[in-house]
Amino acid sequence: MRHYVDLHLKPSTPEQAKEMALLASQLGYKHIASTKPTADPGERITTATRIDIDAKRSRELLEALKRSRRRYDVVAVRCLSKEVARQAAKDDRIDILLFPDDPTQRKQNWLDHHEAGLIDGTGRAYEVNASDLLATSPTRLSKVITQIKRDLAVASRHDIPVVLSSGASTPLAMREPKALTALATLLDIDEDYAVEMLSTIPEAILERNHAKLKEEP
Amino acid sequence: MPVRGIRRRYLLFNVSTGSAPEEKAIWEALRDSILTLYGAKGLSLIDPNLIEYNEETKNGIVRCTHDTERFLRASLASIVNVSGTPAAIRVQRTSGTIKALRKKAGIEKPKKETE
Repeated sequence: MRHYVDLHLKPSTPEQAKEMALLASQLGYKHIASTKPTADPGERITTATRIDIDAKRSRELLEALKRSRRRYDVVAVRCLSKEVARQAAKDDRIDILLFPDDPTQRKQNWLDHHEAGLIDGTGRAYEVNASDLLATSPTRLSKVITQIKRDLAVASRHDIPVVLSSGASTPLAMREPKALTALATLLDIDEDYAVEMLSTIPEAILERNHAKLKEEP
Repeated sequence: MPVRGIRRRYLLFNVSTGSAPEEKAIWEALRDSILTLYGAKGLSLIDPNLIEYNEETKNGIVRCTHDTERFLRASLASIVNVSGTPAAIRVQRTSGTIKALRKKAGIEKPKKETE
């Protein structure tokens, strides 16, 4: 049976984290990863901890990784500069690379072939957040679609796994799994692959990290 | 020559919002969302029709052509406000006939249709 996974919830308080975990369970998710610790939401869903590291310099990134790798199940890096993107692409402690949601910032930072070459075969994933595709003006949305599609073309050429997440910071920004895979049509993603982006690929990341964290003293 | 009718899909949705939006506001939000994502041609292909909307339960049924269900789902998902109030529209069930959808969801036929 397929398990849906939302690897990116960004609640602002622990209470909201619990509310979002319960909603995720009702929407049909089996696993979630949240940037705020979540009190046990029940048997139907498992929660993992996640950190989003925002860094502009590779030194900042390395220091943050030293502090947080063992404390979180999922480590994601928002690449705010080329320097950070290159460092993130070659660092084994990182699970997910994501790029700024603002199209202007994204103009300077995107997944290029050099970074993709470094990621190739490592299991690190590129993340698409559905929140980037919601509710923006048509002009902004068209820019975001173009930029994500450019990254996806590079990822596909280098066989980099792609994760689809909600990126929701409030319960209202959360959607059911089929809605997220439907939103992937905007990026010309094949339906079957969109389902994998929301199930088997993120589930493999969680399983790999749980195994790693168990092994470490 | 026998002509086969157009195949449709019916989607039962729920609106999550702090206010109580009217049916017209839901329809306008949906139409605008389709126009933003797929344009006038997309609107024509999807051929959406808001069959019913209950303002008390905030549940509704919308119809589209059979092969455009994903586009309608994406359009519903990308609605983030209705009449200026933050909102989310989530699909709960889908079916090929309105009768089966109502049966599965335990929704009674609106009175005005039965009279």
